[in-house]
Amino acid sequence: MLELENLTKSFDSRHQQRNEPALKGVSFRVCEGEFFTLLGPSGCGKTTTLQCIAGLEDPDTGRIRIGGDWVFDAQAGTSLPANHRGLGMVFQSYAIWPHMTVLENVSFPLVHGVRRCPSSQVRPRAIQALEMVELGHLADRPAPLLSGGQQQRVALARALVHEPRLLLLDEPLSNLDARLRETMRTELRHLVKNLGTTTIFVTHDQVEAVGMSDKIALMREGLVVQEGTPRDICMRPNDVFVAEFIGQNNLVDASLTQGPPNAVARTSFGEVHCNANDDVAVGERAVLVVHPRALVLGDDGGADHENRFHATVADVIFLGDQLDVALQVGEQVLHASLDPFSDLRVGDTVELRLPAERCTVVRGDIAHAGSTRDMGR
Amino acid sequence: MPSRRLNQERVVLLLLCAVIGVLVLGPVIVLIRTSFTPPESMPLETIALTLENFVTLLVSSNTVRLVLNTVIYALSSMAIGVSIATFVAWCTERTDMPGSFVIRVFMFCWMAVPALVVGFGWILLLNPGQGALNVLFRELFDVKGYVFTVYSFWTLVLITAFAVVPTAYVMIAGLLRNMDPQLEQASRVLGGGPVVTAFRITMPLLTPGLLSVAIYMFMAVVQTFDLPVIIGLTANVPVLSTRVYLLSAPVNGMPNYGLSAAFGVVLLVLAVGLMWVYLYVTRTGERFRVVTGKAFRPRRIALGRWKVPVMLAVAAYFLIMSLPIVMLLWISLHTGYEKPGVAGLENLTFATFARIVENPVVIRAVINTIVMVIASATFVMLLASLIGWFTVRSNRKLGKVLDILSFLPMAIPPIVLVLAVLLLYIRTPLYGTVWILVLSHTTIYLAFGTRTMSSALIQIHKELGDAAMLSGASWLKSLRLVTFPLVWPQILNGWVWVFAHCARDLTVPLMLMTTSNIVVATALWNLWEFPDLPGTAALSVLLMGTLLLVAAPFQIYAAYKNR
Ligand SMILES: Nc1ncnc2c1ncn2[C@@H]1O[C@H](COP(=O)(O)OP(=O)(O)OP(=O)(O)O)[C@@H](O)[C@H]1O
Ligand SMILES: [Mg+2]
Repeated sequence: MLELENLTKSFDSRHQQRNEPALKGVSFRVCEGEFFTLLGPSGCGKTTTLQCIAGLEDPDTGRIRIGGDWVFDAQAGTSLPANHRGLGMVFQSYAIWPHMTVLENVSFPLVHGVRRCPSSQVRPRAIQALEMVELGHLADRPAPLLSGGQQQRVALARALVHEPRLLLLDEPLSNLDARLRETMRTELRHLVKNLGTTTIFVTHDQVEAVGMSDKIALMREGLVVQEGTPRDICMRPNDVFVAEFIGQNNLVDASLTQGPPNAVARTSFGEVHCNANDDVAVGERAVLVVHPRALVLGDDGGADHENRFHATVADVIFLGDQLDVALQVGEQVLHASLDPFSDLRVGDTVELRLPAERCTVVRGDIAHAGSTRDMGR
Repeated sequence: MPSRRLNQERVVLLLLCAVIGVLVLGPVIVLIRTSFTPPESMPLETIALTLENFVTLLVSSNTVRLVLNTVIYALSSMAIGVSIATFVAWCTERTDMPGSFVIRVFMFCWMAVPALVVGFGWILLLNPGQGALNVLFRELFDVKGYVFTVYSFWTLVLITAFAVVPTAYVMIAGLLRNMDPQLEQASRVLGGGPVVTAFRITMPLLTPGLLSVAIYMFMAVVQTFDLPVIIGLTANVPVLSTRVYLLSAPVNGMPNYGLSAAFGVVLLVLAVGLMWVYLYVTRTGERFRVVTGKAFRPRRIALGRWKVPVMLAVAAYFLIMSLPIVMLLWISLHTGYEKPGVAGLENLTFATFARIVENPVVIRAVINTIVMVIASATFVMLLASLIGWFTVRSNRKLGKVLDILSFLPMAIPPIVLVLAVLLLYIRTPLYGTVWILVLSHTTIYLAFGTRTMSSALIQIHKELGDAAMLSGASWLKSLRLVTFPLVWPQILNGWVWVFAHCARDLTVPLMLMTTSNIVVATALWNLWEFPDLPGTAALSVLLMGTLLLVAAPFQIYAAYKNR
């Protein structure tokens, strides 16, 4: 449905000292009807990618296919103007035109667009789109008199009214308050899945991305670092940056003493049996990623004796729906999320097991990953 | 599939660059070229290159006097004008003086009053022979000769200073009202009295702003032409702008375009230098800029026992400002020159107005003026809106070129630009039509228009226009239906401003005057030279009335909204 091939884009840097390209070779494919998310920290080039797809910016190199047409091809020097690409887009600011009514906003693509519809159908179709987002009763209200959530729905109705081949969403939820954001998350996904519209969704919030998408492309500094289903990205990160960005994973300095299968990693607190990505060489400096829910405390009756360690409880934070525990294992601190009913106290010694299938060694350097975390949050 | 090189946006950008290039660069190149041609030849008719003009200019002892005159004239008018403006602005913005709203409106509207007309009024009041004030003093105090004369350097300076005040006031009032009141409040809270606060906090904070206003006004006076030509010539106070005019349109003899162009180049260099200083000062001013977008209004200072003196001072100023206008009104209501007084009341008549509006030359001038002002204002705002869009939105290289090109006319004194336009088009059919006036005005006011539009467009979120394109509208349509409707008030405001300035301007029509492209300003000039004093007065009153009628509603509305 959508294919990006090796897009690069530099902006003329009047204000920046260093002229880093905003995109350094972005490629991915999106299938028909898929809910595809571009995830990444601020400034990684998500909006730029989206604008290249939309036709609002021209990349320096690469090509873009939508459906069967190459809408942009740097080599051939062709670029289909934004209005001919047949897309719908919800902008971060919603871009509701304040000098028009809600209905005028929504019917704009039908009246002034490239693919117009007969004037008798304009109003019914616009109303239908508004009803889809449950705003049919506000059709004749001037646009500035809407709340944030209503504006967001109007923007969605406007983006969908002309039945676009592709729906582009640039952080549409980030301006809403927390509660509304959560309801809109499910509603939005339901809506576009029911319509079957292929959707590209941009966000820097990993919870949003994981909860809504069929597929995620994680971006960093103008490159796609990992592409896959939410489960892939969360459970099998292929890079320390991904592991860092996607959750509260424990990251431990490690190096492989034995390659996969049956990989073994050496850490400061001992040898750990684990999975390892293919791109990690034996002996090379790498990172062991352990999900905070992967840690098993106490004697769980596991038959094998591998990956068992003694730990001391260094800190306990009660969060209502979970218990965050910091465990001192040798010189390393590991964080575990436990169920809130467990009654661990600071100073307790516990037996700790790291199930091998839940531990992954990825390439990279912790020091390098840490710097991006602050940017993302 | 359309090529990426040939979309609407790019085509419009290329067209704009071509148009602006011709408008701006064409004349400048011809001007510089002409300054190097031998004196007796016509511009563009010779390939000879000579430094003769510049040699003449340098060896002449007159040149030094000319430049000195210009600088002293501009400096003193600016200093007096800006001081008065600062005082009045401080009173209306920062004190509890009553009537500040009325003063604001008055100042804004006064910008629509042609300096030319005010100059005529002053001459009628102060000329050494029949000047009304001189006559009055002669009768009251039995003095011989005259008390005042309009034809002196210092009178010219004072009259120009009064003309500078409204614009300076508007700029300074803006500075004062945008200053963050917390800076002053902090001083008060920490124990500084009102005087300490004013001198230690307010003044230093305002210095960069005031300095840039001062340089701007200095630049404006260096470039001014109307007052120096109607007063300065008789007073024998030549300045650069009138010298350029006299050389290219001498009372007798052949025009000396080469030397005129050489003087034009000197004036241009002076103006570009000032422009550079202005930009430098405003840029450093940014660094400790005190303008915050906040809606707070600073606390007003209670004048207390100073209230009456301050009000009297302001009232006296307004009385002086309105004297020439009253004089013009008086004369326009008589058939011949009648000295102001009770005796003249019996002869009040509209006969002169009736005579003037039937004069075929005046009728032609009015029609020409209407065409000229409407066309100029429309062209300027059309070009400026598009250029503004490119300077704010586009990161194409050509967009930046356009930005610089449209700013360039700001540094070209109108008199120099018109001379250059004259040199470039004198052999074309355009010369002698109204359209050459439109072309010159469009170039002169382009910089103003572009500034207005880019500061308006920068407030409009980019995504609003993008959303229209994504909805299927072409680029031009997104501008027409979304972006420009959102900045409609600023477009209209700029249009009115250009409209008023074109109508009142004498520089352009006088330099390019032929029998066929006479406009109201040049008709006034001709009537005055003829001389037909009641006719001049009546036409002045009509021009002023019309301008106020167009401009005042906007200004009153704007002043009301910003109250
Ligand atoms: N018009 C522009 N001119 C110059 N630089 C730009 C422009 N737009 C984006 N950039 C730069 O390109 C890089 C990527 O920007 P982009 O807007 O794509 O980031 P983003 O991933 O959308 O971030 P955010 O989550 O903050 O919206 C940034 O370094 C940004 O400064
Ligand atoms: Mg963004």
